[in-house]
Amino acid sequence: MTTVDTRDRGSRDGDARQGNARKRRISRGGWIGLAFVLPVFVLFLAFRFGPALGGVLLSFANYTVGGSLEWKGLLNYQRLIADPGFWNALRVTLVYALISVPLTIVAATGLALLTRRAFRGARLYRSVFFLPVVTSLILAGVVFTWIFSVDGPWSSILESVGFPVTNWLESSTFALPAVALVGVWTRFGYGVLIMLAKLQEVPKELEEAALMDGAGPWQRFRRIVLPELRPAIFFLIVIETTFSFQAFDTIYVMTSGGPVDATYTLVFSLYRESFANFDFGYAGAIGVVLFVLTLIVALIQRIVFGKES
Amino acid sequence: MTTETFAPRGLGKVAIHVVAVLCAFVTAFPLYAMVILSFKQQGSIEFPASLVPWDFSTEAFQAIFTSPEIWRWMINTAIYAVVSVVLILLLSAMAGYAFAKKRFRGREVMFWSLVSMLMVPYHITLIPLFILIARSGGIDTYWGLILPGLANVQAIFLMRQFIKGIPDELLEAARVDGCNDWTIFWRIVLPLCKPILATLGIFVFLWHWNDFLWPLLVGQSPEMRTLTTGIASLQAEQVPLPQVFAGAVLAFVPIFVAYLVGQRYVTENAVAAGIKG
Amino acid sequence: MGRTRKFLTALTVGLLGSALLSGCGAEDQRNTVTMWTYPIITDPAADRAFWERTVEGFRAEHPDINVDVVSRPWDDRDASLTMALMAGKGPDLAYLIPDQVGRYYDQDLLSPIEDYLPERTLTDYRDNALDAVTMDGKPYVAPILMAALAGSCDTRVLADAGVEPPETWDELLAIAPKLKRAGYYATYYQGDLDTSLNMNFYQFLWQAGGKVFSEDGRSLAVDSPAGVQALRFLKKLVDNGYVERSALTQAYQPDQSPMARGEVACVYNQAPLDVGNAMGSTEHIQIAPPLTEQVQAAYGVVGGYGVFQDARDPAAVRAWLSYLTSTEVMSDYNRTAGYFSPRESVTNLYPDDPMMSEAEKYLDRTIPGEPNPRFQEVVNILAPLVQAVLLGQRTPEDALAEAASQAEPILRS
Repeated sequence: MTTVDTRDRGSRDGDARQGNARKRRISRGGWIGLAFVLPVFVLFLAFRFGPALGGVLLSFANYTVGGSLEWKGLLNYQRLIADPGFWNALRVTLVYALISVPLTIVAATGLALLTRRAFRGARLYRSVFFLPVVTSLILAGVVFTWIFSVDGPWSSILESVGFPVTNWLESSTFALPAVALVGVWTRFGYGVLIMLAKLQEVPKELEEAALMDGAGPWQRFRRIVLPELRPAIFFLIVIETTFSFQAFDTIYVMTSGGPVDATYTLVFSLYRESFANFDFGYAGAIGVVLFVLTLIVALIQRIVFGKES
Repeated sequence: MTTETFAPRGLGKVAIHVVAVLCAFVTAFPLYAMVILSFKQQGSIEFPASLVPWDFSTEAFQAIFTSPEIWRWMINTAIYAVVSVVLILLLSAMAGYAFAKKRFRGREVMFWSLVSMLMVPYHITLIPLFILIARSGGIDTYWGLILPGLANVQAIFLMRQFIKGIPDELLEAARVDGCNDWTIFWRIVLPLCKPILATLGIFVFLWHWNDFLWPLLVGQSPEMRTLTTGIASLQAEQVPLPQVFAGAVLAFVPIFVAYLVGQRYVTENAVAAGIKG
Repeated sequence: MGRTRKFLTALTVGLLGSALLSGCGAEDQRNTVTMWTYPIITDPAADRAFWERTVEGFRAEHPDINVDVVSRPWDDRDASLTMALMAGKGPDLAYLIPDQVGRYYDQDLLSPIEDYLPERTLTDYRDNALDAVTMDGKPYVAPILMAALAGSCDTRVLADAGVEPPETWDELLAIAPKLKRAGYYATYYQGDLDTSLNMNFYQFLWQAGGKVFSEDGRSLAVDSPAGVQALRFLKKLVDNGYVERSALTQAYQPDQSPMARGEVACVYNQAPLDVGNAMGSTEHIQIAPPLTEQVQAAYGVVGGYGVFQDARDPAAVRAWLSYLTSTEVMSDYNRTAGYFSPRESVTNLYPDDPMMSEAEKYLDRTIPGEPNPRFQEVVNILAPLVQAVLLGQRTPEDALAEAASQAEPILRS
């Protein structure tokens, strides 16, 4: 998903060289270069490219545990369309993204602005903010299960502001926001780093000039900092949306998709259909839907980035 | 100097500190709670009374250490992470070198087919991958756990970008001195790659140490679980909370150490490496 | 059907991987039979003792064959069994019931049982037992036990209200007002979504002469006059307060059994033995015949052992399974477990127990489920719709039509 500079300077260097020597080099380097790439490329074909292709093909078929394959055309997709469970999973996935992505980006921007200036402890704060990113999602899930439990801190906070005490993870209304909040906790630190990197590029002269003109903090942010941050924000939207579509580990530990499918995401239904129901073809179709969603996000990125530059 | 212009002063400075401390506290609280509660006695967990850092009990740790399983899980996790790191670094450095500095037939096609897979969600490959490994007898084996993750596109890409920055003249000089491609790679390129290898090494370690879904599928028997899948199973079996947290602490400590040691590499290169490949 | 084509050749770049994935050393598994069983005999000590003496008895006849009986937990049994079979680490045979047979058959995992049983055993099975494990004309499980969910009535309740056990829907509706006036529910309907439809809606559907699946199993037959009639009857029970309304949504609590509370006249969703266990004694239980509308029908599970296609030593499996389904072992097993025998020649297992002997009479009236590869998916669709009808949120016609349309693409695939 990274935007990548893939222009190849190496190939242009060679043009100036003399024909014969060049030919000899290519043929010699030919198999040596291949020998360096081949080990990982074979692994790539066997365990990444092949299975991806297989995943798409599988969605048009029915594969049994016993090992036989039967082509089914579009039947798996017809099932998807007729299956209320699928539409629920799609809705849950999108709602999860709609809650977690904006919160992640707002938190990341705010904390990056807060700690951008050199002051004592700024580095320490940044390190703390990144800590959840390197923490395993399973650990996050285990701890937050306790945090959201009726005896846990979250319920106490709710109680103190006059909310009824319930376990959010057992409520079909609040379970999804709860797991999405955990998603924010695990991701915002990454955004902070991205934002800090971008903030360094904000021209200081502009901000100083604005300060001289008597612009307040909010105005300086709106008019000078925010426009500079736009590419970073957009990059984060794409990355975090893609990430949120794939949320699984925390949901597995915290709710198992429940209560009553309230946190049953597409990835969770893919997992269930394949490894609990062993309905591989149908799960393949869900995988293709996930792929298409990712492509849509990437496409939007292209369109908007195209406009920006 | 210019930074000083914006360095917070007076009341603003206090406010920034207060807010920053508050945010850091909220961020660190779950991890703090995990560590503290793992040292509590079974059934005595209450909020907020249990969160004080005294009344230590090692009961939970003693309980989980008496089961041989936790040791197996730690060894499995270590094998998975360390072997993966070594092989991924070697394989991607080799490929990165060839993609950056060698010319061969099919280079562009190969490179682009690698990069294009960054767009494809992992989960679509999951089912055929599992079928392939299961049919080949890879369930409950280390090779079934490790092999599918070795072709790490992210790592290949980063290595290629880095090695491109190594001046050709350096490699040419080595060739004149009689080095062949392997010795150039091993004696010149790899040592120059130390910073990126360190960054990648830490990230690959983190990804594998924290990995969940693939170990969940491959490790069907309790002896072949990793720490993440093991802790999830403890939670599912309704093991007392302090014990689950004790397991979580054991899984967290190596991560924490790796993060502290390699923090510079992690935070400086997060833009490129923070995305799981 | 093109079913023979293997996935590896068709889908993956298997050639590339195969060099790396050299096969693991397959150890010699000849002369060993591995079998997975579950805590059907609920007392672990009794369970262990049964299998020890059975294996011992078998080894006396076949000293050259080892039998490894693996006791597995009920939890996640399908996922763990299928996963093990897929990974090539599964058993040679395992305990299965009709609800599971369709799925395992459809996944190309089971072998027809005819190859593993002597003719005299096959012909001795009750027709309904064998029918419930038959897919496309061939049985895939060797039944070893049967249950009969005949009615269990509380004699004190009946006496207090001055009524007799009902035999038909009309009779049930006739005595229900009297029971209600005396402060009792006529019967009990456990309608929450975790309860198998076999135990609730399907029984009434069968009694109305209906079927869940069409003859070829490719569509739902429940969207029929019989289905509507069954739902209307149940709705009548709910609306008039002849059954406990909260049981439509709340999960069953074993320690809160309605019969143990003495609030219900007759139940049809539990084996009499389990009712007795819940009540603490069988003293006040009177067995009532399964209800009749068009057909006299009750649910009653059939359980047995299915042999997997990858069985390592078929001859050894055949010897073991023949022994396991012999008349002696079968009567020992069912006496120990509290079930009945699916073999017609093995009857009168409980000569000293009038309640069990009475229940045994209705074995031929039981329907042990309708096997279908999509059994569970259909339950998942149907159960909430049936519940919605009984809660008054949908009409019977509308709910059944909805179920049929939702199930249609699933049953076709």
